[in-house]
Amino acid sequence: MVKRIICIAAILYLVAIPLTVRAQNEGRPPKRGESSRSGTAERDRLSQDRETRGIDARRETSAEERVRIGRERNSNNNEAKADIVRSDVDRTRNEADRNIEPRIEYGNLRWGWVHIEARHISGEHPTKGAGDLFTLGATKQQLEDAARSIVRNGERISDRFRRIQVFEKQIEVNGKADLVRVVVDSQTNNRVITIFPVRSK
Amino acid sequence: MPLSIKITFDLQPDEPLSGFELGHIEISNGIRSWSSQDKTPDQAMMIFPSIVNLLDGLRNILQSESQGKFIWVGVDSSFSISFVRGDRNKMSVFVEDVLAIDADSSQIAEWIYRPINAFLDQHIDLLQPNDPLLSDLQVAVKDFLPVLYNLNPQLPSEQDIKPQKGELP
Repeated sequence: MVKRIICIAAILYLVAIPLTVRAQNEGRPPKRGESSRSGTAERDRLSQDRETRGIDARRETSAEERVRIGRERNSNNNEAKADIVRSDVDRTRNEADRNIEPRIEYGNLRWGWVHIEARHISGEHPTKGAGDLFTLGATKQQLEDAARSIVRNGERISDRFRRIQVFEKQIEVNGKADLVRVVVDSQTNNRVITIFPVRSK
Repeated sequence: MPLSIKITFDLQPDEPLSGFELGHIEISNGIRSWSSQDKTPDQAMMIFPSIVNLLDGLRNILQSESQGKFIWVGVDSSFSISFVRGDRNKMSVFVEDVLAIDADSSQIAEWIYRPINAFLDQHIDLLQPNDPLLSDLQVAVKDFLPVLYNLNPQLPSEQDIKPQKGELP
Protein backbone atom coordinates (compact mmCIF):
# COMPACT_ATOMS: atom_id res chain seq x y z
CA MET A 1 0.00 0.00 0.00
CA VAL A 2 2.76 2.37 0.98
CA LYS A 3 4.70 1.45 -2.12
CA ARG A 4 1.65 2.19 -4.30
CA ILE A 5 1.21 5.62 -2.69
CA ILE A 6 4.89 6.44 -3.22
CA CYS A 7 4.66 5.36 -6.87
CA ILE A 8 1.59 7.55 -7.51
CA ALA A 9 3.26 10.52 -5.79
CA ALA A 10 6.40 10.07 -7.88
CA ILE A 11 4.38 9.91 -11.11
CA LEU A 12 2.38 13.00 -10.15
CA TYR A 13 5.61 14.81 -9.28
CA LEU A 14 7.25 13.91 -12.56
CA VAL A 15 4.20 15.06 -14.52
CA ALA A 16 3.52 18.22 -12.50
CA ILE A 17 7.00 19.78 -12.67
CA PRO A 18 7.25 20.07 -16.46
CA LEU A 19 3.70 21.44 -16.58
CA THR A 20 4.55 24.12 -13.98
CA VAL A 21 7.72 25.13 -15.79
CA ARG A 22 5.87 25.28 -19.09
CA ALA A 23 3.13 27.41 -17.53
CA GLN A 24 5.74 29.84 -16.18
CA ASN A 25 7.49 30.03 -19.54
CA GLU A 26 4.28 30.98 -21.34
CA GLY A 27 4.39 34.41 -19.70
CA ARG A 28 7.85 35.55 -20.91
CA PRO A 29 9.80 35.57 -24.13
CA PRO A 30 12.57 33.03 -24.27
CA LYS A 31 16.02 34.31 -23.59
CA ARG A 32 18.35 34.79 -26.56
CA GLY A 33 19.78 31.42 -27.49
CA GLU A 34 17.30 29.60 -25.24
CA SER A 35 15.60 26.79 -27.09
CA SER A 36 12.04 26.94 -26.13
CA ARG A 37 10.17 23.73 -26.23
CA SER A 38 7.15 25.39 -27.78
CA GLY A 39 9.08 28.33 -29.41
CA THR A 40 9.75 28.46 -33.11
CA ALA A 41 12.45 30.26 -35.10
CA GLU A 42 9.92 33.00 -35.89
CA ARG A 43 9.26 33.55 -32.22
CA ASP A 44 12.97 33.80 -31.53
CA ARG A 45 13.34 36.34 -34.31
CA LEU A 46 10.44 38.45 -33.04
CA SER A 47 11.84 38.29 -29.57
CA GLN A 48 15.26 39.41 -30.76
CA ASP A 49 13.62 42.22 -32.69
CA ARG A 50 11.94 43.43 -29.55
CA GLU A 51 15.24 43.32 -27.75
CA THR A 52 16.99 45.26 -30.54
CA ARG A 53 14.25 47.88 -30.58
CA GLY A 54 14.77 48.24 -26.88
CA ILE A 55 18.48 48.94 -27.37
CA ASP A 56 17.71 51.43 -30.16
CA ALA A 57 15.17 53.17 -28.00
CA ARG A 58 17.76 53.49 -25.26
CA ARG A 59 20.24 54.91 -27.81
CA GLU A 60 17.65 57.39 -29.05
CA THR A 61 16.92 58.42 -25.54
CA SER A 62 20.52 58.99 -24.70
CA ALA A 63 21.08 60.94 -27.93
CA GLU A 64 18.07 63.11 -27.14
CA GLU A 65 19.41 63.55 -23.67
CA ARG A 66 22.75 64.66 -25.03
CA VAL A 67 21.05 67.18 -27.34
CA ARG A 68 18.99 68.48 -24.44
CA ILE A 69 22.06 68.85 -22.24
CA GLY A 70 23.90 70.54 -25.08
CA ARG A 71 21.04 72.98 -25.62
CA GLU A 72 20.94 73.77 -21.95
CA ARG A 73 24.68 74.38 -21.94
CA ASN A 74 24.42 76.56 -25.03
CA SER A 75 21.65 78.59 -23.53
CA ASN A 76 23.90 79.22 -20.56
CA ASN A 77 26.71 80.49 -22.78
CA ASN A 78 26.88 84.19 -23.34
CA GLU A 79 26.85 85.81 -26.76
CA ALA A 80 30.57 86.46 -26.76
CA LYS A 81 31.34 82.79 -26.38
CA ALA A 82 28.98 81.97 -29.23
CA ASP A 83 30.76 84.54 -31.35
CA ILE A 84 34.10 82.95 -30.60
CA VAL A 85 32.75 79.55 -31.63
CA ARG A 86 31.29 80.95 -34.85
CA SER A 87 34.52 82.76 -35.55
CA ASP A 88 36.52 79.56 -34.99
CA VAL A 89 34.26 77.66 -37.36
CA ASP A 90 34.78 80.29 -40.05
CA ARG A 91 38.49 80.30 -39.44
CA THR A 92 38.78 76.53 -39.57
CA ARG A 93 37.02 76.59 -42.91
CA ASN A 94 39.75 78.83 -44.24
CA GLU A 95 42.64 76.90 -42.86
CA ALA A 96 44.99 75.73 -45.62
CA ASP A 97 45.27 72.01 -46.03
CA ARG A 98 48.92 71.02 -46.36
CA ASN A 99 47.89 67.71 -47.89
CA ILE A 100 46.36 69.33 -50.95
CA GLU A 101 49.12 69.34 -53.53
CA PRO A 102 49.77 72.85 -54.83
CA ARG A 103 49.65 73.33 -58.58
CA ILE A 104 51.00 76.04 -60.83
CA GLU A 105 48.34 77.29 -63.23
CA TYR A 106 49.10 79.37 -66.30
CA GLY A 107 47.86 82.61 -64.68
CA ASN A 108 49.01 86.04 -65.84
CA LEU A 109 51.71 88.59 -65.06
CA ARG A 110 50.37 88.96 -61.51
CA TRP A 111 50.19 85.31 -60.46
CA GLY A 112 50.84 81.75 -61.63
CA TRP A 113 53.33 80.44 -64.17
CA VAL A 114 53.39 83.57 -66.35
CA HIS A 115 54.31 85.68 -63.32
CA ILE A 116 56.84 83.18 -61.94
CA GLU A 117 58.57 82.72 -65.28
CA ALA A 118 58.77 86.45 -66.00
CA ARG A 119 59.74 87.51 -62.51
CA HIS A 120 61.84 84.65 -61.14
CA ILE A 121 63.20 82.60 -64.07
CA SER A 122 63.78 84.62 -67.23
CA GLY A 123 63.55 87.98 -65.48
CA GLU A 124 61.71 89.47 -68.43
CA HIS A 125 58.76 90.95 -66.58
CA PRO A 126 57.61 93.80 -68.86
CA THR A 127 57.03 96.40 -66.13
CA LYS A 128 59.10 95.32 -63.12
CA GLY A 129 61.95 93.36 -64.68
CA ALA A 130 63.77 90.62 -62.83
CA GLY A 131 63.23 89.85 -59.21
CA ASP A 132 65.35 87.31 -57.33
CA LEU A 133 65.90 84.53 -59.86
CA PHE A 134 66.04 80.77 -59.75
CA THR A 135 68.81 79.27 -61.86
CA LEU A 136 68.11 79.73 -65.56
CA GLY A 137 66.23 76.82 -67.06
CA ALA A 138 64.25 75.94 -63.93
CA THR A 139 61.12 74.19 -65.16
CA LYS A 140 57.50 74.41 -64.11
CA GLN A 141 57.70 70.78 -62.97
CA GLN A 142 60.72 71.50 -60.76
CA LEU A 143 58.96 74.45 -59.16
CA GLU A 144 55.76 72.48 -58.70
CA ASP A 145 57.73 69.71 -56.98
CA ALA A 146 59.42 72.31 -54.78
CA ALA A 147 56.07 73.94 -53.96
CA ARG A 148 54.66 70.54 -52.97
CA SER A 149 57.57 69.86 -50.62
CA ILE A 150 57.46 73.36 -49.11
CA VAL A 151 53.72 73.31 -48.47
CA ARG A 152 53.87 69.86 -46.93
CA ASN A 153 57.04 70.14 -44.85
CA GLY A 154 58.06 73.79 -44.76
CA GLU A 155 57.50 76.44 -42.12
CA ARG A 156 54.18 78.25 -42.27
CA ILE A 157 54.88 81.99 -42.38
CA SER A 158 51.37 83.39 -42.65
CA ASP A 159 48.63 83.25 -40.05
CA ARG A 160 47.20 79.76 -40.47
CA PHE A 161 43.65 81.05 -40.86
CA ARG A 162 44.29 83.35 -43.80
CA ARG A 163 43.10 82.45 -47.26
CA ILE A 164 46.47 83.33 -48.80
CA GLN A 165 49.09 81.13 -47.20
CA VAL A 166 52.86 81.52 -47.23
CA PHE A 167 55.27 78.64 -46.57
CA GLU A 168 59.06 78.61 -46.51
CA LYS A 169 61.76 75.98 -46.72
CA GLN A 170 65.43 75.60 -47.55
CA ILE A 171 65.33 73.55 -50.73
CA GLU A 172 67.31 72.81 -53.89
CA VAL A 173 65.71 73.92 -57.14
CA ASN A 174 67.42 73.12 -60.45
CA GLY A 175 70.74 72.49 -58.74
CA LYS A 176 70.80 75.51 -56.42
CA ALA A 177 69.86 75.45 -52.76
CA ASP A 178 67.85 78.45 -51.61
CA LEU A 179 65.46 79.58 -48.95
CA VAL A 180 62.29 79.43 -51.03
CA ARG A 181 58.85 80.81 -50.27
CA VAL A 182 55.66 79.68 -51.90
CA VAL A 183 52.36 81.57 -51.75
CA VAL A 184 49.15 79.60 -52.30
CA ASP A 185 45.46 80.37 -52.39
CA SER A 186 43.98 77.88 -49.95
CA GLN A 187 40.44 78.41 -51.20
CA THR A 188 41.30 77.31 -54.72
CA ASN A 189 42.97 74.06 -53.65
CA ASN A 190 46.39 75.58 -53.11
CA ARG A 191 46.72 77.30 -56.45
CA VAL A 192 50.25 78.70 -56.52
CA ILE A 193 50.30 82.50 -56.68
CA THR A 194 54.07 82.78 -56.68
CA ILE A 195 57.21 80.95 -55.67
CA PHE A 196 60.47 82.81 -55.16
CA PRO A 197 63.90 82.59 -53.52
CA VAL A 198 64.47 84.77 -50.45
CA ARG A 199 68.02 86.03 -50.51
CA SER A 200 68.07 88.62 -47.73
CA LYS A 201 67.00 86.68 -44.67
CA MET B 1 61.41 110.92 -34.44
CA PRO B 2 58.63 108.53 -35.37
CA LEU B 3 58.96 105.73 -37.86
CA SER B 4 57.11 106.38 -41.09
CA ILE B 5 56.05 104.06 -43.83
CA LYS B 6 55.10 104.85 -47.39
CA ILE B 7 53.45 102.34 -49.69
CA THR B 8 53.35 102.87 -53.44
CA PHE B 9 52.40 101.01 -56.56
CA ASP B 10 51.70 101.76 -60.19
CA LEU B 11 48.03 101.59 -60.98
CA GLN B 12 47.30 100.47 -64.51
CA PRO B 13 44.56 102.79 -65.78
CA ASP B 14 42.96 100.21 -68.06
CA GLU B 15 43.01 97.26 -65.64
CA PRO B 16 41.22 96.67 -62.34
CA LEU B 17 43.37 96.58 -59.23
CA SER B 18 44.47 93.08 -58.26
CA GLY B 19 45.25 91.84 -54.77
CA PHE B 20 48.57 90.58 -56.18
CA GLU B 21 49.67 93.96 -57.53
CA LEU B 22 53.39 94.64 -57.19
CA GLY B 23 54.50 97.78 -55.38
CA HIS B 24 57.09 99.17 -53.00
CA ILE B 25 57.50 100.04 -49.35
CA GLU B 26 59.66 102.81 -47.99
CA ILE B 27 60.44 103.06 -44.31
CA SER B 28 62.05 106.07 -42.68
CA ASN B 29 63.23 107.03 -39.21
CA GLY B 30 63.50 110.73 -40.01
CA ILE B 31 67.22 110.55 -40.59
CA ARG B 32 67.52 107.79 -43.08
CA SER B 33 65.09 105.91 -45.26
CA TRP B 34 65.11 102.44 -46.75
CA SER B 35 63.08 101.43 -49.76
CA SER B 36 62.41 98.30 -51.74
CA GLN B 37 62.56 100.49 -54.85
CA ASP B 38 65.59 101.01 -57.10
CA LYS B 39 67.25 97.77 -56.14
CA THR B 40 68.95 95.19 -58.32
CA PRO B 41 67.44 92.69 -58.62
CA ASP B 42 64.10 94.46 -58.34
CA GLN B 43 62.51 94.04 -54.92
CA ALA B 44 58.91 94.97 -55.72
CA MET B 45 56.48 93.03 -53.57
CA MET B 46 52.85 91.96 -53.69
CA ILE B 47 51.64 94.80 -51.52
CA PHE B 48 48.37 93.43 -50.15
CA PRO B 49 49.55 89.99 -48.99
CA SER B 50 52.69 91.68 -47.63
CA ILE B 51 50.49 93.99 -45.52
CA VAL B 52 48.52 91.01 -44.21
CA ASN B 53 51.72 89.24 -43.20
CA LEU B 54 53.13 92.39 -41.58
CA LEU B 55 50.05 93.02 -39.44
CA ASP B 56 49.72 89.36 -38.46
CA GLY B 57 53.41 88.94 -37.67
CA LEU B 58 53.60 92.14 -35.67
CA ARG B 59 50.44 91.21 -33.78
CA ASN B 60 51.94 87.82 -32.90
CA ILE B 61 55.16 89.25 -31.50
CA LEU B 62 53.28 91.95 -29.58
CA GLN B 63 50.96 89.38 -28.02
CA SER B 64 53.47 86.62 -27.43
CA GLU B 65 55.45 86.33 -24.22
CA SER B 66 58.02 84.01 -25.74
CA GLN B 67 58.56 85.23 -29.30
CA GLY B 68 61.51 87.58 -29.36
CA LYS B 69 61.90 88.29 -33.06
CA PHE B 70 59.79 88.63 -36.17
CA ILE B 71 61.34 88.95 -39.60
CA TRP B 72 58.92 90.28 -42.16
CA VAL B 73 59.75 89.66 -45.81
CA GLY B 74 57.72 91.23 -48.62
CA VAL B 75 55.77 88.69 -50.64
CA ASP B 76 57.59 88.01 -53.96
CA SER B 77 60.57 89.95 -52.69
CA SER B 78 63.57 89.68 -50.38
CA PHE B 79 63.10 93.11 -48.82
CA SER B 80 62.83 92.53 -45.10
CA ILE B 81 62.25 94.31 -41.81
CA SER B 82 63.11 92.72 -38.45
CA PHE B 83 61.31 93.45 -35.20
CA VAL B 84 63.20 92.48 -32.05
CA ARG B 85 61.70 92.73 -28.59
CA GLY B 86 63.76 94.31 -25.87
CA ASP B 87 63.26 94.90 -22.16
CA ARG B 88 60.32 96.79 -20.67
CA ASN B 89 58.08 96.76 -23.75
CA LYS B 90 60.84 98.15 -25.93
CA MET B 91 61.22 97.02 -29.50
CA SER B 92 63.97 97.50 -32.07
CA VAL B 93 63.30 97.71 -35.79
CA PHE B 94 66.06 96.74 -38.20
CA VAL B 95 65.93 97.31 -41.95
CA GLU B 96 68.56 95.56 -44.04
CA ASP B 97 70.40 94.73 -40.81
CA VAL B 98 70.64 98.41 -39.81
CA LEU B 99 68.90 99.64 -36.66
CA ALA B 100 66.15 101.98 -37.78
CA ILE B 101 64.57 102.72 -34.43
CA ASP B 102 64.37 101.67 -30.82
CA ALA B 103 61.07 102.58 -29.18
CA ASP B 104 58.09 101.41 -27.13
CA SER B 105 56.20 98.52 -28.69
CA SER B 106 53.02 100.54 -28.44
CA GLN B 107 54.50 103.35 -30.52
CA ILE B 108 55.88 100.99 -33.14
CA ALA B 109 52.50 99.30 -33.42
CA GLU B 110 50.87 102.64 -34.03
CA TRP B 111 53.53 103.86 -36.47
CA ILE B 112 53.11 100.70 -38.53
CA TYR B 113 49.34 100.57 -38.37
CA ARG B 114 48.44 104.18 -39.19
CA PRO B 115 50.01 104.42 -42.67
CA ILE B 116 48.78 100.94 -43.55
CA ASN B 117 45.27 101.89 -42.52
CA ALA B 118 45.46 105.11 -44.53
CA PHE B 119 46.68 103.16 -47.57
CA LEU B 120 43.88 100.62 -47.24
CA ASP B 121 41.33 103.39 -46.84
CA GLN B 122 42.39 104.65 -50.24
CA HIS B 123 42.73 101.36 -52.08
CA ILE B 124 40.70 98.55 -50.56
CA ASP B 125 37.54 99.67 -52.31
CA LEU B 126 39.33 99.39 -55.64
CA LEU B 127 39.73 95.63 -55.21
CA GLN B 128 37.15 93.45 -56.89
CA PRO B 129 34.53 92.04 -54.48
CA ASN B 130 35.77 88.50 -55.16
CA ASP B 131 39.47 89.34 -54.78
CA PRO B 132 41.24 86.65 -52.71
CA LEU B 133 42.95 89.32 -50.59
CA LEU B 134 39.88 91.24 -49.55
CA SER B 135 38.82 89.07 -46.61
CA ASP B 136 42.41 88.53 -45.43
CA LEU B 137 43.00 92.29 -45.31
CA GLN B 138 39.79 92.97 -43.42
CA VAL B 139 40.43 90.21 -40.88
CA ALA B 140 44.09 91.14 -40.42
CA VAL B 141 43.11 94.74 -39.58
CA LYS B 142 40.28 93.57 -37.35
CA ASP B 143 42.63 91.24 -35.47
CA PHE B 144 45.32 93.90 -35.11
CA LEU B 145 43.12 96.64 -33.67
CA PRO B 146 42.52 95.09 -30.22
CA VAL B 147 46.28 94.67 -29.78
CA LEU B 148 46.87 98.26 -30.85
CA TYR B 149 44.24 99.66 -28.48
CA ASN B 150 45.39 97.41 -25.68
CA LEU B 151 48.89 98.84 -26.00
CA ASN B 152 47.61 102.39 -26.56
CA PRO B 153 44.50 102.83 -24.40
CA GLN B 154 44.67 106.59 -24.92
CA LEU B 155 44.15 106.28 -28.69
CA PRO B 156 40.77 107.39 -29.97
CA SER B 157 39.00 104.45 -31.56
CA GLU B 158 38.44 104.23 -35.29
CA GLN B 159 34.80 105.07 -34.78
CA ASP B 160 35.79 108.27 -33.00
CA ILE B 161 38.09 109.27 -35.83
CA LYS B 162 35.98 108.30 -38.83
CA PRO B 163 32.59 109.83 -39.48
CA GLN B 164 29.83 107.28 -39.45
CA LYS B 165 27.93 106.57 -42.64
CA GLY B 166 25.45 109.29 -43.31
CA GLU B 167 27.33 111.82 -41.19
CA LEU B 168 29.15 114.77 -42.60
CA PRO B 169 32.91 114.60 -42.14
